[in-house]
Amino acid sequence: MTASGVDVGERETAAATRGVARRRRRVPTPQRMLFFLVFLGIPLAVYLMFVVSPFAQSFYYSLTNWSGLSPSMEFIGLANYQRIFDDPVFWKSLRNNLALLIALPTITIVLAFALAVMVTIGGSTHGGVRGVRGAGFYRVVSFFPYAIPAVITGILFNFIYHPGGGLLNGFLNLLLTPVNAVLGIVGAEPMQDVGTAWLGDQRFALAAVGFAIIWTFVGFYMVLFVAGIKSIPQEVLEAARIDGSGRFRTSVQIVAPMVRDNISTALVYMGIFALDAFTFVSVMTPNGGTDNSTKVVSLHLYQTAFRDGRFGEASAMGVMMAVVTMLVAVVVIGLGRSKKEKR
Amino acid sequence: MGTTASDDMTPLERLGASRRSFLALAGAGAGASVLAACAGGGGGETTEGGGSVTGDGEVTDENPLGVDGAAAVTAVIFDGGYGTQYAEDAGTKYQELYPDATVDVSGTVNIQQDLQPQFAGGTPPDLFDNSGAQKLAIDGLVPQLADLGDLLAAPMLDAEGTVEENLLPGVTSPGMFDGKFLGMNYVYTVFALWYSASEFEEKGWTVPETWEDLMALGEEVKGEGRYLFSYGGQNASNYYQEMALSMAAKLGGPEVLTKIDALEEGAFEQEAIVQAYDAMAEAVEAGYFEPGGEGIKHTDAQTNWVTGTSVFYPSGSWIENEQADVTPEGYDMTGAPVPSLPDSAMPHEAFHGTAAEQYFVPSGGENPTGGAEFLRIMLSKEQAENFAELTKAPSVIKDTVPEDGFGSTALASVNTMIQAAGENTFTYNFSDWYGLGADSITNWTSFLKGDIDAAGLREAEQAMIDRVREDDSITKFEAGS
Amino acid sequence: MSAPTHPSTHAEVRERGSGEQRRIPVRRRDRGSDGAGFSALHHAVLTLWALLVILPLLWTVYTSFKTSREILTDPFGLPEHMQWENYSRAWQEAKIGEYFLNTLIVVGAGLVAVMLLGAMCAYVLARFQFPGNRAIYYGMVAGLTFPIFLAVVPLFFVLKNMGLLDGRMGLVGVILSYVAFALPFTVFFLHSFFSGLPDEISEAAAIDGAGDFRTFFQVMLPMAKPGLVSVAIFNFLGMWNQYLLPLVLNTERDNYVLAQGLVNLQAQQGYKVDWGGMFASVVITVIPVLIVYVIFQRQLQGGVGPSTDK
Repeated sequence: MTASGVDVGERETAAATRGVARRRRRVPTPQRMLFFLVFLGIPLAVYLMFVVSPFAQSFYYSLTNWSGLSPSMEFIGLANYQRIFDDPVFWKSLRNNLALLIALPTITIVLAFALAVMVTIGGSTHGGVRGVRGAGFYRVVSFFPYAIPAVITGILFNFIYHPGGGLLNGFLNLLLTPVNAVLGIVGAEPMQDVGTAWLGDQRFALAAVGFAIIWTFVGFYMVLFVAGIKSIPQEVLEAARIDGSGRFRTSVQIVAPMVRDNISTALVYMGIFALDAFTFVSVMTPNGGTDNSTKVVSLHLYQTAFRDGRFGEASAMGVMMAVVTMLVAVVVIGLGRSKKEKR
Repeated sequence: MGTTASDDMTPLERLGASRRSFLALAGAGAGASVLAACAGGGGGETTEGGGSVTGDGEVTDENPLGVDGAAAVTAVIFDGGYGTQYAEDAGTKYQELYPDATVDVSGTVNIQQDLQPQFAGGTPPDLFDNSGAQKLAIDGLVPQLADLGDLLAAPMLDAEGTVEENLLPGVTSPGMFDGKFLGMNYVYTVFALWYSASEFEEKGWTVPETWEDLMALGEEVKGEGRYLFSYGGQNASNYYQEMALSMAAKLGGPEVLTKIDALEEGAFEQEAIVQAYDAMAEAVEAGYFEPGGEGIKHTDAQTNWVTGTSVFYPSGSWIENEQADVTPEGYDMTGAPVPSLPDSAMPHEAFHGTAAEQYFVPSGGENPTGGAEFLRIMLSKEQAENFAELTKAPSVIKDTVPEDGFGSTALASVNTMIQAAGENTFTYNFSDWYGLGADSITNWTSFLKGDIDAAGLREAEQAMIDRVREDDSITKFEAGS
Repeated sequence: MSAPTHPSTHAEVRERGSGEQRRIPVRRRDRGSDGAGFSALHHAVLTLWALLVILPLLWTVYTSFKTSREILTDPFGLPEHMQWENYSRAWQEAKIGEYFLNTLIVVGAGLVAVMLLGAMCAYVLARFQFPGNRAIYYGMVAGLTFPIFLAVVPLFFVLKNMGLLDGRMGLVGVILSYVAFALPFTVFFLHSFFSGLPDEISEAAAIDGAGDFRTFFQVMLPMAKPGLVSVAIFNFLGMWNQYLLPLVLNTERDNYVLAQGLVNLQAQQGYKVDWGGMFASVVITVIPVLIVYVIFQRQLQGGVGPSTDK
């Protein structure tokens, strides 16, 4: 964003008196004290009261054997954490989360970026750099999946992946028809109809759930990236093209760095989502799939808390998950910052 | 967060969850729970739980509970699968018997939200049906509930004997707590193997009573390109655990299940279990289960079943209601006991039976005696029959369903099963008590999919109960009571 | 393959003189991939993508006119008869109309509050150095990482102790929870936005004699509009689809929001699921989201580059 709203004259005087502003920062005036109190105090109070304190309480619960219903609870130290360390299902769930953590942000963001580039600078080379015709249409419809509640998306994909009447297998079998015709002519055994239970087969289930998630989010991030790309000055893109840079190179070397903030926001948000994924997993595979192949920590946590009545242990899982998520966020934000400094 | 897993519960799980939360009481003991502490609130100190429901009115044969005929009575009914009409009808009857009383029957789908403020204000209803996804957490409720022992001992409104003598076997046990009878379950649930009677008639098939016959039918069905069974491996493969355990109980007697409930070592290596699980494995290997079941949910599997992909589905007696929107006309859904293995200890007619829809009388209400009397009216032959007619489901009162099941083939068959079995019913609780439904589904889906064999399945199931037994932090329940 | 050449520039003119022969193949390849063929490929990809997103939406809409039997036995078929009753059931039993108003109140108030509080907090953290700044920032961002359903039970008691569960006050409790849980993301996003604004502006404002409050409301906030709009859209959707918080915290029936109405529709049917009614209520809840988006999506395009979308 540029300072386009401010007169040049003002800017010059501002530079001249910068020292004054600095000094004021060191010695807060009463007015500034009030400003801080209001601007920082109110949001912090809300945050502390409604987010931090409940979590502090649940951290305490993680050290107890509270059932979630019983009137009393005993302090049992780290016993819940010990149980989790010995719980193979927890580790499997965490592994699934980490798989999603690697795949979801990468695929979603690459796809979203590619689509955003096509819409914005993928147009014909007549005149200025621009998007394809109908870009506005694509941009608007891309957003639709995000507006559908996750529960309904889950139901939709359940029908798509249905081993018998599902769209996916129906489509694959349609492709098989010509293949089998050819095989019939050469006298070979026809290939069997595809009847894969995508959500039940350990090899595909997690990927199948992941695809539904990617489908939901790609358009959303595409819209975000489009906004970012449009804020790149036209001259920069023109210059790149005149330099003989192809669209792919322009995208990777020029556009991507300029929307880096958008990309890192998307990374963090998708990453955090991948570490949760509760709604999609629980709608599509309510019990975490065959042999826990799609179980994620949030689902395991939910079952532990509300089905098994072990709120203490579930809280401990939540605390561990929060630590993992924080580590991921720190790494992503840290990477973003070090790049920024290099530049 | 778009949903909770409770939206996706199968009826079996819901039944389990409701029973589990009640049974969790034994561990919780007396005292208000945290959540219900807010429900206790102002009214809490004035209510003394566990008191008898017999009132101050004159106790006569017509009025065994001593109801004050002029006192108002309020009942709150869960407006779920069974609706509220049956309770409204009982309310009309109450009004007839006590013309001076004001009777208020209301329905809700959110018992907790509606009743918590009432408990908090010290004005709970005189009777309520604690069911549905939003029911009250029971362990906080117990100290505020009246003992319904006098109701059991009271004479029937319109039949010989006491209420208890007219109940189907086994229906009081889920309502017992610390030796007190607090919860009256009103709906009887029969587990059976369900099929289309019209199809069997048309094809000239007979319903297999032995495993051998079932396998023979399986071969014939396979020849038609169909299957014996469909299963929803994502969330409901444990319906087949229920079937296998029922077969094992019939083979070796109810004690087989008691040993599992008691979490005994080697419980899943009992001969009856081995044979029942081997039988299931035989059906899996023969390809009698619809392939792809591991990828679908119970709704899909049951749709496949009623639309003819498969012949049988093991489930509880709610299945006709549950499938009503999808079942084709003239399907004539009918239930039969699961097939027997050779040399079974129990007769073929024996089945797995239990009860649901739990009614409570709060001791802190205005008129707990009226609440109990309302229940006694609901438990009369007339009202029980009315319930069965309205809902096509059997109540817990004996002999209240006519042979034609009010036109419902499912209800008629359930009634026949109940008559034929007599005292030969059994049930098991380990899955509900210890929340093992999810683990059971994981195990059974792997088994039905063909990833593990019967021995592997038994090993996994044994490991599942071993873990519970060896975990001191889990409260254990006494099996066989 | 006849893409026209670009307007000549100095560089090109110079190159033409010296090494045009060597240059041509490179240009030709670029033109080939940049030209009509490539554009057609883009169109193909984008059309495929558009189908992938539009068809499911259409499916949702026409499924809402089917019976439960049709939905289950033939999930992708068209309805035989239009089941308008699905909508009347959704409207009446799920009380969509009544809950719609509540949802508007909760989401509207929550959105305004979180944008204001979030912008204030992000602004202070981004533009003022003081001890503990980093700690507060990271403390806020850490909130992004907490699994929400661990907090709901303790949160229930927090609100209860403050008297924010009963009666119409219940809505206030729900709004505050929405605000609190949307704060971390809002602050995180707007922080980078405010720190990107040039120093000169605030300094200029200071010279003009504007106090901190005026600088924020009259200078900074308008400049941050593109960022605010993006975050507001995120937050709107998050709040509109929020389910767990109202389920646990919004206990008064008169205060129910749409998501709860949707669940009611499922619970009401007992063992049966009213698939048609469920899809109808989904359509009723999704349409407003889409309308809001279509109206405001242009705002998302805010930015300073010349518009390339015509």
